[in-house]
Amino acid sequence: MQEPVVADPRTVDREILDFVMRTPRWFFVWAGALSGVLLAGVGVFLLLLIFGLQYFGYSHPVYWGFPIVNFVFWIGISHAGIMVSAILRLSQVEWRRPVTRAAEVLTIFSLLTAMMMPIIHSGRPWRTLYWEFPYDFIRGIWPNPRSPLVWDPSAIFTYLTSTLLFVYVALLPDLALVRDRASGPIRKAIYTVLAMGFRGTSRQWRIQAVSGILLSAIILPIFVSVHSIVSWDFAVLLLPGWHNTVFAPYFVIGAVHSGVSAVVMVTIIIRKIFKLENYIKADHVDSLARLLLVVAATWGYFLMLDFMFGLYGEEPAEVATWMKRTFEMPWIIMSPIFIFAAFLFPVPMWLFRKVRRSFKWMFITTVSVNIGMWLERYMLIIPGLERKSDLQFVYGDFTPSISEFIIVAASFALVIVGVLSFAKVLPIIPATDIKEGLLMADKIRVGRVEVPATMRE
Amino acid sequence: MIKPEQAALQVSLRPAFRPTGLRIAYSHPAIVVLLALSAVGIAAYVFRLTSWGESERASWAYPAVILMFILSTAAGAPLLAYASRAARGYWALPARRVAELYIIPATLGYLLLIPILATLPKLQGRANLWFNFPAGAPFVTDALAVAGMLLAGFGMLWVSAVPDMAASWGDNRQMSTWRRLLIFNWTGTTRQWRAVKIGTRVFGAFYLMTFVYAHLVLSTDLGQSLLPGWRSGIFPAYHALSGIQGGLALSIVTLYLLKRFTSVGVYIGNEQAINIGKLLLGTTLLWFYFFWSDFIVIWYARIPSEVAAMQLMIAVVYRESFFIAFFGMFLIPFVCLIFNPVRRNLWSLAIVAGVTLVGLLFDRIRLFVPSMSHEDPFAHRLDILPEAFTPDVVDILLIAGWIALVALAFLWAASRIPPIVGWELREGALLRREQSFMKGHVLVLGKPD
Repeated sequence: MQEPVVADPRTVDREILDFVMRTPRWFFVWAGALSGVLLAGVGVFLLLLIFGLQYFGYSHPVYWGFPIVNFVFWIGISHAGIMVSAILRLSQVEWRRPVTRAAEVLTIFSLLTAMMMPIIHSGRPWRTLYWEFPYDFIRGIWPNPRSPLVWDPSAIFTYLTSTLLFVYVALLPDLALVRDRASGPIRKAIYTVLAMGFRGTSRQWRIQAVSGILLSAIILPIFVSVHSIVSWDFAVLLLPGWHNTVFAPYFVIGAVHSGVSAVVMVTIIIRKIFKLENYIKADHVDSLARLLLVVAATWGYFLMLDFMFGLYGEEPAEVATWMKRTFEMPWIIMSPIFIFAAFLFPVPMWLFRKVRRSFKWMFITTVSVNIGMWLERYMLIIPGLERKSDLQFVYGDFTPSISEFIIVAASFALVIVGVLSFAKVLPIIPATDIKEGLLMADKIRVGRVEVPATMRE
Repeated sequence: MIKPEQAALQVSLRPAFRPTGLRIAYSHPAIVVLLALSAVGIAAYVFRLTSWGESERASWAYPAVILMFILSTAAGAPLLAYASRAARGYWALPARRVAELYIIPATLGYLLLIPILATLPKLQGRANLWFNFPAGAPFVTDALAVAGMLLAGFGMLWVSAVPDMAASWGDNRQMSTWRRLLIFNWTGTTRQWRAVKIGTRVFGAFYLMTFVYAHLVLSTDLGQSLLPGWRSGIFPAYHALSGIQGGLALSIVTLYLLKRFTSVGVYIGNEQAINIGKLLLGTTLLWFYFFWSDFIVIWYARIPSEVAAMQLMIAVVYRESFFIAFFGMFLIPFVCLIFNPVRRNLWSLAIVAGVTLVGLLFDRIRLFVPSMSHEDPFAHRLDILPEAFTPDVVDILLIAGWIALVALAFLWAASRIPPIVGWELREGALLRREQSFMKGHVLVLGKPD
């Protein structure tokens, strides 16, 4: 890393905890506006409870609409935190420090949002209980473990639990920091309980560091399994366009592609609104962009495999689905937008150092990736269902309703409100991590040049 | 702290460190054995070429196995050099040239590739990657893919070797013209250094792309498309990944042998072991993930044609090969490599890497023998599972001989080009230092760009 943070530990504490200690006026304006969108989503959900799925205008054969697209999309975003935080922590990458917390928080809120989507999609949420939990011991009715309806919640709950644990362990020193500065008895009491008596003794630091590394290692297989299992919801079925063995890694790498892009977006936004220019520098965005280049190239490879091996067997149903996805309205418009937004526009841009180091361009390109990746999920799910297959007597085109758009908007609002609320009560940049970085920063003199360096234990 | 070897930290600029090639005693018993085996391998290859006849594809099934084994080990190794350069991993400095040099033995695969491609049936009427592409697919396309990969690999090796060759050959004015041409009249100007740094990265990036592409086309044309009912989108990725795993394993074994038996061993140590060990563990886990992703989708969907192909390669006919592959490429390495002491020690790591290589060989057998030996690639599915196609004496001699040939080619290459990247080692010594910090010792790493 070329640009070390230039500040003393006290300044770091003050600047990073500034938003936790004082609430600017814009916070209320934004929180209010976003809550309005969220309330509209709640309203749509209540109407859905009354009228059932027909309220969305669903009809045979397409019953999987925006909520499922949203579900896959938000599960994908939730992969960002662990990719950025756990993997970079295990590989001792120095530039990770200011971006990990935002990524982890994004993971939690996007995961919570994703979990709501299948419940909304079911139309009758109370029914989901008997898909997941044993409810009638006497008659021996149990959930079917061979059903993805059981796989998904198991994987997602495991991921959520481990992510919460992972984030909480990483938060402990910062919770102690806020506890020591909190004013008012209630706030102080809450932070005292949450900090679990963390005083910064050498034993506590050792336990915190070791548990952080262990949790990073444990969470990785869970991270991979979650989106793999989501992908198998589709791949194990015999629907054309879905039955492909490449789906699991394709979904996972696609999730990382959209997730890391989302982390870049969030990082740039929090840098701007919380005035963290001293901590989030062009180097960090540059490094994330390099990571994105690798991820995007791998994703492009798997996309190509999905396409090639969709057509490989020359099975009529499979070929017809791909033709529909590529050449029929409205997909003929969406396909180029998707491929341009998710790959052809951002990836060549990231090859240029100037773009990688520009906050404006990185924001634009990563927004573009996420538009493309949302469309990818949409194009993956709907055409396979729309196509008329054997023993199916109706054709049906899918037209999204306004209500579904509201649900999508509400899901974005929920994640943003979640991240903002978190930033209001806890530091969105890990102060202790930054201070550790200050301690580890060094220089090496080579001839007449001083090269930035870091210590490795 | 895992320390680099002291010799690596003490490489100096003045007097300049001049790495030299290995000195090989051709009378050494091990070299004599390698020479003899190589001769037998070449003889077996010539025999296969001269006895060209009916059902030719089946007789090239085991040569296809050794071809894919070479492309998964020797051709996978140079990726270690590229990846460590791209990620600025100083730990890999002594391992980079060792890994890069394997592009020379990988070229031997080309001799096997040409006759094997000539045995492939016409594309029309069978599932294939080329969708009846008219311009010479798969023969020309596959040959070009591998040629492109080898050229990129040679480019990477050449560019990175220029400063070292210039250093070991001495004064430019006293050098022969062809040597001067070979090192681009190297004098070490800032422009030339920049060109070397950019060149290694650009060629490395091309190598990675062509490696993945070559594995895509070859694994499909010599594997999936010859076996009715085998349709797996993940298979090319699985094949490329296991190729990287094989490349890492081969690099580890080579590093251990160099450490044990040669003078360059002073630069190689546990720093390389712990880091390449982590990569090997990662690829081992990914191997299982890719295998499982393939298996679960086919097993759950229960499409008869896909299940039959899986039964052939995994559960019934080539079951033994599959189990050896499963134990060698996943179970044994995984169980061993999760323990830090195994990864931290080059000797124990080399044993695990050796097991991985054995597993990889059997993996290639279970994948390519059933497809190359199948009589009717134009059928839609396997109605009856065929018998296992066992190797004859010529096949066994060919496999053993070509493995020896690869080892011999590596030794020859290492005797011509220094197996240690001198200039990068020097750079590493400038940018790293040990120092005390609080109560312990730390390594300080400079990151100039």
